[in-house]
Amino acid sequence: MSSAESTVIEADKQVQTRHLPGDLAMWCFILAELLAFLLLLGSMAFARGHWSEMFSAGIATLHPEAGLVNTLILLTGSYFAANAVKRTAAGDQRALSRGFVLAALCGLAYVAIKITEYGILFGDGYNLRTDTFYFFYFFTTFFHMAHVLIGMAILLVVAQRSRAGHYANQEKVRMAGESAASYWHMVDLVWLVLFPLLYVLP
Amino acid sequence: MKHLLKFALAGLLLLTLIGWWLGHSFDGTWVVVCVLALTLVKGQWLIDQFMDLRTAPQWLRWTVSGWLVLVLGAAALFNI
Repeated sequence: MSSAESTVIEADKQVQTRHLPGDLAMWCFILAELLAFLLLLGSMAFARGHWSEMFSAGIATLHPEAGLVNTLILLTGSYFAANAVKRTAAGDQRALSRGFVLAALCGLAYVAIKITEYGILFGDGYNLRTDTFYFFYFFTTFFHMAHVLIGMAILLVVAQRSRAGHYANQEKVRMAGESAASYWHMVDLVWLVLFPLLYVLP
Repeated sequence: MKHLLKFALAGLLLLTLIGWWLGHSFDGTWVVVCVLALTLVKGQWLIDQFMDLRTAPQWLRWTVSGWLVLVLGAAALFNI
């Protein structure tokens, strides 16, 4: 066998061993969501640069500690989801429901903090129509929070179905778990970009 | 490695705290560059370790990583 042939065979083996985490349909959904967030975050980055004084004044009214705590919470939730998927693949039957419930609880804490932050801002007289900054702030963070809620629902449904033995075999448990976790990580990834734009950059 | 996910979480939390401290303690273009660079590292770490796209089909990993570069590139372009 020539070296070229062995290189082709080796590359073919690598392609075959590559693993798609979850369902392809879920990934199509995730990529569509990422495209929507790309447009939204790109517009927000442009607006931040274009109306820098308005954004600086608006950002000064936010609560950076709330943004920081929410980031730490979402990252921890992503860890719980990823760990649950890994342990399920290793044969731990109950890890998926336990890990996904913990991840959803992190999501709940995130939503509670976000709603408290909205309440304070509304109480101070700021809303979607105050100016361009508050339009972007409320619209983008609410759109993201809606995705957190969708992610929580997906995690809890998969956790419940896994606990109830709804899935026919271990392969289906793995597929459902990876799909749900992938969506949850996408929500976290979007927040990782949103966080510096609103709470960190000077 | 058995504790790889725990290390990934610890790293992500640490980088978040460092970025937050930089953004709230200093001013200037270099801070914007550092915070966005830290965000790029965190995002890629999340993509590889938590999303597990390190061993996924290359087109998917490149698409998600490309999304991250595009959105952070836009943030850098309009804010530096």
